[in-house]
Amino acid sequence: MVGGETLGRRTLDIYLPLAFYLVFLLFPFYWMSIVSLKPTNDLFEMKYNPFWVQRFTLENYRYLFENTAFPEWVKNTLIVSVVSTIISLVCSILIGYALARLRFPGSNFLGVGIFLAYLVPPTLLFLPLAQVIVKLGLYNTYWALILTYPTQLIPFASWLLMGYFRTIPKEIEESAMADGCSRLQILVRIVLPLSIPGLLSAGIFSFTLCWNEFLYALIFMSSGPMKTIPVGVVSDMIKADTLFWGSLMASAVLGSFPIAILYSFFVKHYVSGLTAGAVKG
Amino acid sequence: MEKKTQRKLSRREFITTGAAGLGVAALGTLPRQVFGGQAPAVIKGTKLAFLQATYFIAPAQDLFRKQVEEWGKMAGVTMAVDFLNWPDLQPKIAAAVQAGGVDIMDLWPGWNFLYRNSLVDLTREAEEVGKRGGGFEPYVLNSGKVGGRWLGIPNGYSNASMAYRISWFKEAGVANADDGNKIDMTWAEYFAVAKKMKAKGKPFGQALGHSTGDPPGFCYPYMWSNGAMELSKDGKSIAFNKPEFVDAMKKFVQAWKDGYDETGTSWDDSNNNRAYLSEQISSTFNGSSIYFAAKKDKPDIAKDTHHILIPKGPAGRFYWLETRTTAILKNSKNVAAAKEFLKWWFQDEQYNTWWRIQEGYHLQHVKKLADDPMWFKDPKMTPFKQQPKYGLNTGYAGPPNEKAALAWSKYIVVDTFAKAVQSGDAKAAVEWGAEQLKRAYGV
Repeated sequence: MVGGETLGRRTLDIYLPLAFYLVFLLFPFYWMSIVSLKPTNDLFEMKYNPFWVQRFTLENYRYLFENTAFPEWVKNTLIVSVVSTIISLVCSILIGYALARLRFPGSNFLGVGIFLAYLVPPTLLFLPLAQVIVKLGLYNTYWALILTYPTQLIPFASWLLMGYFRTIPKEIEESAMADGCSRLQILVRIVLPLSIPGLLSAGIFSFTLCWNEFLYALIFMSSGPMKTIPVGVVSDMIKADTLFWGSLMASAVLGSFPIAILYSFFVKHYVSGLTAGAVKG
Repeated sequence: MEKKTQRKLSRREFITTGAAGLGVAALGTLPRQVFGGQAPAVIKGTKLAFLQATYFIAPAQDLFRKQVEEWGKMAGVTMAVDFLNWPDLQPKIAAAVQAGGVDIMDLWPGWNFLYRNSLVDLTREAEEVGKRGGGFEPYVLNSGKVGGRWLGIPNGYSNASMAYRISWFKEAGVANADDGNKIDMTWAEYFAVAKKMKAKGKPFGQALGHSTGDPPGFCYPYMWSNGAMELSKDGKSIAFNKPEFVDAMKKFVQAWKDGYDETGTSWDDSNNNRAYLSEQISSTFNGSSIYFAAKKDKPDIAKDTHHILIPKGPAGRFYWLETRTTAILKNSKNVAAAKEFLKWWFQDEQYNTWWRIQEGYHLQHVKKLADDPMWFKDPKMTPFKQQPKYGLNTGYAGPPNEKAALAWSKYIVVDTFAKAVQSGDAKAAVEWGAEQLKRAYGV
């Protein structure tokens, strides 16, 4: 048993470190929440305890919904994130399975190539991608992001899934093949149901990356109501050298909800999915 | 152009021009010269995308949007305006230069040099604006032209000065603290007040981080006022590592310890605003945004705040001041409409209304506005009014150009100050700065 049998020992070995990590990890959310619930005046008032709300207000949330296009930003971010994630997952499943199971000339080279593509930073890619987007007439449309986000998502998700697929015993697939299954049937009926944790990990990773992405959203889709949350927040709540802290934090709190909910539902699968490829079974 | 406007109109042109004229008359706000004598049919049905920085003065942003929409309706052009956070403008502009997607954009000082090959020549339009306004301010003339041409129409620049708390300056024994317009300080005097204020627990604050406004806005003038500059007058050598500037830097290092909040090395443009409004510092170099924000949320602090001109040194008083320009991208598919819009927007009816609504936050581009009644509404804004006459450009005593913009964007001068206060070795910091400038300017 971890941490010994006595309560004192367990407190020292488990509960205290856990409490420390809990405070460390949750403090940013706590800070965001209390700042979003304070009037602007109180944010600069040093006589008040900064770690507590003295005068409660929902004014910052009201501002967010009445004076900005926040609901539009949420809608845009959601559409782009969901569609990009689905496209990336479909592509990554096919790539990951092919790299894990099929033997074809150049497969190793292709695997390394895909991984190297992941290492190219978006700051280098955004200029040539901008030319492609404008030439295709996709500027300031959902497709601009839906088609560019997978360039970042597919390489990582493919490698993650490739690692996961390799943990599934080949014998299961060979048995299915002996029973008359085609490759595609094996993938859909055997491999994918066994890979739910891996798929969830890749899905959550992709969704989170899309949800928080800034540079491409700024360059390709930032006009008027077409902004995503990260771009809308900084362009509408930071005016020159003045930051509207209350509304910024309110949008950060609301913007974190979908990701937090996603993680809380699937955290167990997420961890096992991430670590499955790490140790060869 | 004159020839074009005076030629006889065809029947078709007469009908389209007449119809547009009737529409304009119905709206009642469009000046006669709005389409520069051309029929709006030329641009009707086209689209224009405009990129600007977000405004601190929100009503000015709303007004600008309204003006853009109004012109769009009159000209039959679909207008889109995009307002972005200041640091995010440059990647967006870089992408637009490469790929298009934006027609008109607001360029920060120096960017007219950086993107010179991608901008439409607007010399004729800019000269008209200058002529109408009684000539451009000297700082605009210094910084707006690129190789003798206007690659954008200058629109002025946001201001900056020293904000201070009246009551605390009184406590420190500053004469005429009630009225910043009557205070004329040297750097030594300003640092002496800082020392007294820090002893009382209310130090001065100064941002020295990598941020576009306050750090260079403070460091360049301090350098110039103490006899140093980036380039010598002949442009052939670096004039940064001068004994008088090393001495001045030593004084600044001492003042930093004695009178400043020493966490300022990590501050950006927003930190001093926050520190001032939360009453942690008693004076700072900033735009009038502190004062305006206080008027809105902290009226007591606003009442107790005034501004003074930036202090002077042995070589004089200076401000880093260059103009922003409104430019058209060469790769725009609608240059004609973009030009027509700019001609209209820079008319007094539009521009001056937009400029006045900012109540002094944005400095005038033309001399005619230097004594505009707007400046006399609030005496606390008067120090900003005087700023244009002290303006110098980056790269001084050389001309503003790509190299000056590069040295500025690498924060070489600002980092010299930060290194000096962090290491305490003013001489080594200035030597480092001189070496970096040498590389940047290639001299």
